[in-house]
Amino acid sequence: MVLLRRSSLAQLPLSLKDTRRMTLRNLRSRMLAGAVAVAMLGALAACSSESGSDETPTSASGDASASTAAPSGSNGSGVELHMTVWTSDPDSLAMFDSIGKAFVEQQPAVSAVKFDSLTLDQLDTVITTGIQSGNPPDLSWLPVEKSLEYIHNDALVDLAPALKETNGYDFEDLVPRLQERWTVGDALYGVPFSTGALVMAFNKDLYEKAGIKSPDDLIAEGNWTWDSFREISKQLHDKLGVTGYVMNDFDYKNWTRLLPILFAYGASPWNDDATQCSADSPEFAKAIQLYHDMVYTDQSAPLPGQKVDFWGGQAGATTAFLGSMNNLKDATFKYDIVPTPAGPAGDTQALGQASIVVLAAGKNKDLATEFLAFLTNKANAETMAKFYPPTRESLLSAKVLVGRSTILTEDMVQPIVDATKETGKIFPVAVDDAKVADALNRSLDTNIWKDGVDIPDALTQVCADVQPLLK
Amino acid sequence: MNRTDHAAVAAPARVRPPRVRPSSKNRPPRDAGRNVFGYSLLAPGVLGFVAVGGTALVWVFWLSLHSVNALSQKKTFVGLDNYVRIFHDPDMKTVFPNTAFFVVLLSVLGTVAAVALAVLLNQKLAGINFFRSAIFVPALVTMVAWALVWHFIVQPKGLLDGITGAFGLDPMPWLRGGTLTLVVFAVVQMTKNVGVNVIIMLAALQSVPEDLLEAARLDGAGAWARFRHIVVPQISPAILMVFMLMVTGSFKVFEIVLLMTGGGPGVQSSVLSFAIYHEAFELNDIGYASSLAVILFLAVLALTGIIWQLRKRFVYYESD
Repeated sequence: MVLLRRSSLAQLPLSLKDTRRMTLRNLRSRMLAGAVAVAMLGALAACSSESGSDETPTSASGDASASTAAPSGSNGSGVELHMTVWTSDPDSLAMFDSIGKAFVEQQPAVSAVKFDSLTLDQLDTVITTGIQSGNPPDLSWLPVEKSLEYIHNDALVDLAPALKETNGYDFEDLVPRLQERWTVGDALYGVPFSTGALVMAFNKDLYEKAGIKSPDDLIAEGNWTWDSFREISKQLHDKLGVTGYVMNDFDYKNWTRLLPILFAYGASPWNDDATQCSADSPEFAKAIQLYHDMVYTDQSAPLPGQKVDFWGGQAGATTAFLGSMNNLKDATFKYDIVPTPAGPAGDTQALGQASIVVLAAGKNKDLATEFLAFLTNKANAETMAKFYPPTRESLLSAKVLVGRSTILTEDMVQPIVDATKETGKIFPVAVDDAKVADALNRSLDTNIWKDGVDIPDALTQVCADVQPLLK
Repeated sequence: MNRTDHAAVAAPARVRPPRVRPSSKNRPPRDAGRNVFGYSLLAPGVLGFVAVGGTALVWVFWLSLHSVNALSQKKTFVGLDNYVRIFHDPDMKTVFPNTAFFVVLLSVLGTVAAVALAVLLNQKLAGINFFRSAIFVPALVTMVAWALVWHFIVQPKGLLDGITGAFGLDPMPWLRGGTLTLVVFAVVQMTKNVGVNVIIMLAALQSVPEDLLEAARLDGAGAWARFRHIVVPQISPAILMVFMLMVTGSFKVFEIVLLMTGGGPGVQSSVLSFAIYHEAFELNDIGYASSLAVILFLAVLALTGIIWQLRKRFVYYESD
């Protein structure tokens, strides 16, 4: 019926009254529509002005002294610095907060220093998305694997001039060999705050229960090699049915965790200047063969996709960063920490490294650089050494590293400090790290990590996949 | 004979005017006013979509025509190069078939499972509400937790291997790529969300008129015939809706791939949505990722459009 009425009405001529009603109704509707549109525009304008006000601190990206002179700092409305870190440890974050507060007290142009906690695998995403959206963090931790990529893309600020001019910084105390990955000529693009050794932790209870030699016994015998470690791992699996060895944070997706074995065999996936793939070398093949045999022949290491938790007591031994040993604080078993085994290339020590960097796309580069100088000065570096192995000559000692740790002892750490100083090798780095590492991980996963593989043949394919990305 | 015809018959003395749909120019003022009022109410939503969704779409298309270096903030116009690259990218020879297989498998499996479970849960049994609640519980769990639980089930030497081993079967490479891994993904995703679809189906089943079923029963129709010829047509709009949601949803499946295999080994278990994330956020190749995102958008749009056009052949509406 409604349909009929409407169509009938449509045929009728409009009376004056109808026309006036229509006009009034139209007017009312248009006013309503206009009000809604104005409200929406108002909201958008408010958003724009908010983002505009966010950009105000950009003006602070002049030189540091100009920022320091800014009156806004005195009334608490100064710049808020943001720094991304990949720790969620409450003690560690509390330490950074206290250093940040101390900096705010001495620098009135800064109202606060915020530490944004994330995981390492989120870091690249957060930084690149931040740069794209015009709101990157001012400072960040950056792993050494990313150093060349970020430097090559002009994404980092040269810190050397500011650090050298900072009173009491003691620039010369930074161990030069440990700064190499961050140095281009006289420029320094990051201050390593943590040079962490990949070390081995083992579950003493499991070795005792199995009645076999432990890593401590092999070290005492002078027979601490990957071959002898493979043997006791197999014995552990055969006797107790548990996993003998699991690499921490490996999951067959992070090739850098293979470095203790690779370095022990004198292998690296590419040459020193990262222009030539060397994953098909005999040394690389022997190193990979050892781990492959542990997985598929001895079954003493986990299969791809298999979750094994050393910290929960499910495996005999693990290799992990010294900083990860905090996971042992809740361990329900006896443990010890030792350097990783030797190989045909002798005793080696794989070193991961993380630096603090200032992002070139940040809005407050000079204040951020000033904070970095404060954060990495000798006093604060010593404070941080409780959590992160320092790169200052004066602080690189077992006593400083152990600090008040309830997990580490000086006896445990001294050999690792010696190895770091004498035989330590920092992770190899490629210019296009994201793509190279991805290609290497994927190719190893596809070609190597399966049963019945001819390792040398498969590694030829790995190099074929990686070589085009090396520059 | 529709309502309009009835009305015309009821007034035989009057000459029925020709039925002409009013154009926007001569539309009665009351309609025009209502339309403006209606559009005003729609405006916030539409503006929101344009501001967020529309802008993002245009921006992604614009990015897809560029080579973007996120770190150095350099953007170079490359035309359709990123699209041409898709055809030469060996990874895409695995990713696209994987995506197609996964979408078909999950959409069909998910819809059939939702109908089957809804029929089972539509019985008048004591304690049926417990089962109705139980099937919905996974939908309340986060995808991350769900994927991790399933990972422990299907990991090597895990629960599933233990069960198959009890029947004398060898361990299966559940997460080592290929069709088997995609089937695992489909099962994990389906069991997570089937509860929501079952609720939709259950509501549709409970609105099937009892008198139709009773009439069919009296005419001697068996259970299958009643289901095939009465229930299915009656709930076909709900089936269409669930199927479309499954199609669009399965194109966007991402968390399971990330959490269970990372797309590996290689790209053997990767699908398009994961490949976009991988290129954009792990390899920083924003331009190429954007071109893949445009392809994904067009694929979802095309498939949804085709299904929508085909609905008249498969879906029964009371007004038909």
